[in-house]
Amino acid sequence: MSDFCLPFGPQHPALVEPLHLKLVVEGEKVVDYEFKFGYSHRGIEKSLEKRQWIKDIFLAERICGICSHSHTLAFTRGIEALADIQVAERAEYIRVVMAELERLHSHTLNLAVSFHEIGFATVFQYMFRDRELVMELLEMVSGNRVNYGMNLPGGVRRDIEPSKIKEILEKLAKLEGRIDYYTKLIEKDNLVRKRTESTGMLSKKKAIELGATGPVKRASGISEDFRKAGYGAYGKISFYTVTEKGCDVHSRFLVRIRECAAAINLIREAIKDMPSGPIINKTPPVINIEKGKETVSRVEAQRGELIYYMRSDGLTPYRVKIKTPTYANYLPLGECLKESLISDVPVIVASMDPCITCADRVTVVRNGKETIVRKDDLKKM
Amino acid sequence: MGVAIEVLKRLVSRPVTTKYPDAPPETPEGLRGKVEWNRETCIWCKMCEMNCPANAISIDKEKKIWSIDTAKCIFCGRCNEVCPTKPKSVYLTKKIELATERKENLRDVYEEHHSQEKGQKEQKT
Ligand code: SF4
Ligand code: SF4
Repeated sequence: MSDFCLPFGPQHPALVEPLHLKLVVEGEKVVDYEFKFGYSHRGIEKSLEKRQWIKDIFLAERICGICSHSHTLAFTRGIEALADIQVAERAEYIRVVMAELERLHSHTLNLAVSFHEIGFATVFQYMFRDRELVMELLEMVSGNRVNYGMNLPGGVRRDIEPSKIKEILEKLAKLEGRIDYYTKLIEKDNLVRKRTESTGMLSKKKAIELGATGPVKRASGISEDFRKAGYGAYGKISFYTVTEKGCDVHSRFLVRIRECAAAINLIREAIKDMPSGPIINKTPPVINIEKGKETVSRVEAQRGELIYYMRSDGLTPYRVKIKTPTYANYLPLGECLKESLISDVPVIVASMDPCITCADRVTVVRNGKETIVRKDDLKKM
Repeated sequence: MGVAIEVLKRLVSRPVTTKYPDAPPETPEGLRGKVEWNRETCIWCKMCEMNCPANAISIDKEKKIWSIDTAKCIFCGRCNEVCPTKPKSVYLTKKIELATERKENLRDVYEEHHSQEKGQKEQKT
């Protein structure tokens, strides 16, 4: 076996974020891999311990720009569980609408980038144009395009008024047509199919073994979606989850685009069922939670399951441990890379929808020596 | 094939991008932009200072100085939410073009007798 090692990243035209992959190659084929993380470690988990609960929500929001609502949702739900706060009924539905709008913009972003990676820049441009519809909706509802700041313990900060609901439905109808178009494009277009079918295979068995999550898992034929557990208002709204059996990059594309269609339906259902009433049960600006109380809060973010472990230290958290979906998807990513061609690596990486900054939260410094998590450490967990 | 038709359609339609900065961007109602303050209604309760997640607001109650560092502000709107006065003394405007050459210009110090004066150099406190 050759041991020619090809570095991929941390700065690479195909990667937007700094991930360093060391690929052991044999000719054009990748036979092994090693990760190196830690390029965008920001120490957010530590900073969370120094602030009060409500201020932390805004910090948690900034862990990821794409899943910002999911992060606050998980964190706020954790606070609500710890402090026994009742959530306003209407707020639960607004949270669902926001989460699904966010899913729409995240999936269209990832698909657009994936198209760009396979050299289909025209579709990349079109998708960005259509994604703008969702961005405008998010901006209209929350007042910001990226960090929506909607969640507070007990409810949400902004209501969705009837005039806004009208605009949401109008723009979604417009978007639905476009999503249909892209679904057909992914299903039928020869260029897309030849480039993506049978690349980056992740078998069902391996996906379970390595703990894949989110659309990656659902594209390997495993129908698992934490929303089905019915947290928030998801238990009261009827919706379907999408699974594909192809196990390849093409299936991941299909799962994402079909989830977009599902999200549009879900938003419509949520708006239809939305009860009237207050949007927030007022809570004091400083929350005091009994010391030592702990909880685990889970939500289904766009990329997969997002888990927050929280332990209280009174006015501030004692420890917050966050497990982002990208972190869970690193090992499946490595598995997909094995036996693939070097030219397919960017496509495979994009199809996993990695958010490197999301996952880079641990750098252990012991006796002045820095230790960064490696592939083998991932396997131990 | 599908893409070819789409591309041909695009050839005859108008561009979707706007001519920024000649055409100012459309901003929806309730956009969270630059934070401003109103001396007339403020009761110096310091709620905004205490609840700002980014510690962007600092208040000197004795000297009656209210200042905000827009470079630190994360535009969350929490200050506006907790302000007890009616109308709110601290509010978010729709101003979004905040780029400047110097970081100091982003600091607004509202001192006495110079009400609403902005962009003043910070005095070391
Ligand atoms: S908007 Fe948020 S960060 Fe900015 S001053 Fe107000 S509370 Fe502080
Ligand atoms: S919260 Fe409002 S009233 Fe109180 S100090 Fe701030 S601006 Fe003034």
